[in-house]
Amino acid sequence: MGTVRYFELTSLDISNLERLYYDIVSFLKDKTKDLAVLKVYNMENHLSEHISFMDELNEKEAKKYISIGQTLFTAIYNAKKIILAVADGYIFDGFFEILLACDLFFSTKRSKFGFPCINYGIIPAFGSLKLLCRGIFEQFVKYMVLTGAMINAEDLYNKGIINKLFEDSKDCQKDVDILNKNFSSKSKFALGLAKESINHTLFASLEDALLIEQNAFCLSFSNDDRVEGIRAFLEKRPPNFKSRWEDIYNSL
Amino acid sequence: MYQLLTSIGDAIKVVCFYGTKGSFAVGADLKTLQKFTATDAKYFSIKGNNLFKYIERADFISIAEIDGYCMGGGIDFAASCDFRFATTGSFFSHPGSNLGFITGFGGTARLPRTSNVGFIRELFYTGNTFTSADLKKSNFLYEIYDNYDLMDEKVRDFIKYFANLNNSTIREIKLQLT
Repeated sequence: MGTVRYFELTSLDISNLERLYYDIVSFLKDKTKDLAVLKVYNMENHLSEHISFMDELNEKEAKKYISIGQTLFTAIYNAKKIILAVADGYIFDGFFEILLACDLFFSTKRSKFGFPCINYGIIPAFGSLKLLCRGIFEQFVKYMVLTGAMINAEDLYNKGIINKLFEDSKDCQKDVDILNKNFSSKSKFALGLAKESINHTLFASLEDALLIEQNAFCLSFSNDDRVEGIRAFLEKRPPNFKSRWEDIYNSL
Repeated sequence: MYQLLTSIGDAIKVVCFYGTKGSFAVGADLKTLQKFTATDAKYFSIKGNNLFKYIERADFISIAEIDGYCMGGGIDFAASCDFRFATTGSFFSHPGSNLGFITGFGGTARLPRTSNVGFIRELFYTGNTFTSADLKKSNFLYEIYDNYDLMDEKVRDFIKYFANLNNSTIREIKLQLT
């Protein structure tokens, strides 16, 4: 079983976003890790620091900031491996956006999420808004973005954005371990294809989404994992999957 | 089934699908899939998609009455229906990642459109088995009932709402919604 790779996003400055991007890339190439956890904890004390940082950006620096934010968002969203978001506390603007790029989302009950940046004349631009509008009702997203209101974790859980709620951030470790064990036993090739199909369907017409899935289905039949997976099931034994996306990432 | 459904005349306003022996549908036969090439898979996927697209766009209301296991392609089948009802004892799973392939009947395309995306990711990525209550919470199921007889009775009441609709109206509404 692979071990879990943990990342923590502690600030939204450019160097920190770049560092996280390279960490994500190294995770994608690491065959010993099947699951990554991206933690964002207690950002309430960072809001004024973040506003000061944004205030000092000139146009060129703002462009660079958004560019690296979008690159990071896209790297997480398009990764063929599973990345779990874990949130605790007050999660705002870019922190919330980066967590939304992840595949699964755990949070403490006390957490609050939102885009207060509208209150200081800035809009969220890492790429999460389109995704949110496709994930939950568009009018609710407009309410969040236009008012800057902070939304309770429970509301996002009820809307299907958050998968699991916990009393305390330490409580989620057991579920992280269960997920890691689960993904370690899966066909990584099929997992990556499923992720690709689901994520593309959110931005495609139904007709295009069906075609994307149809071709991914066929691709899975050209891979040895399918032969092993069905054989193992029929022989009532655990499968021994070998295909890994890292083989593709490492050759790029 | 495709031939049967395409032969339905204008007199039919509602079609209900149900399974037998404790399952709604449990997906494709693995012994057949084991022998598939990628080309066979493409043909199989097109055939399945043609049926499900037909149900989705047909000029009748389609209802899935799920009692028991609903797995893999069975979930994709139900997703192409207009309404999905289930008994509380039903179970749902998309186990493709355990078997080394993904679904080819439109599940990854339709389920995020019918249900909460976060839950659908969990369904596909973990391959875990979920209950009717989970599927109701995710908006996939319209309603759940304690047993099949009660569900069937409630569905029969429900379809009375559509008695005065004509088939072209049904088709137009579906076109607007998809």
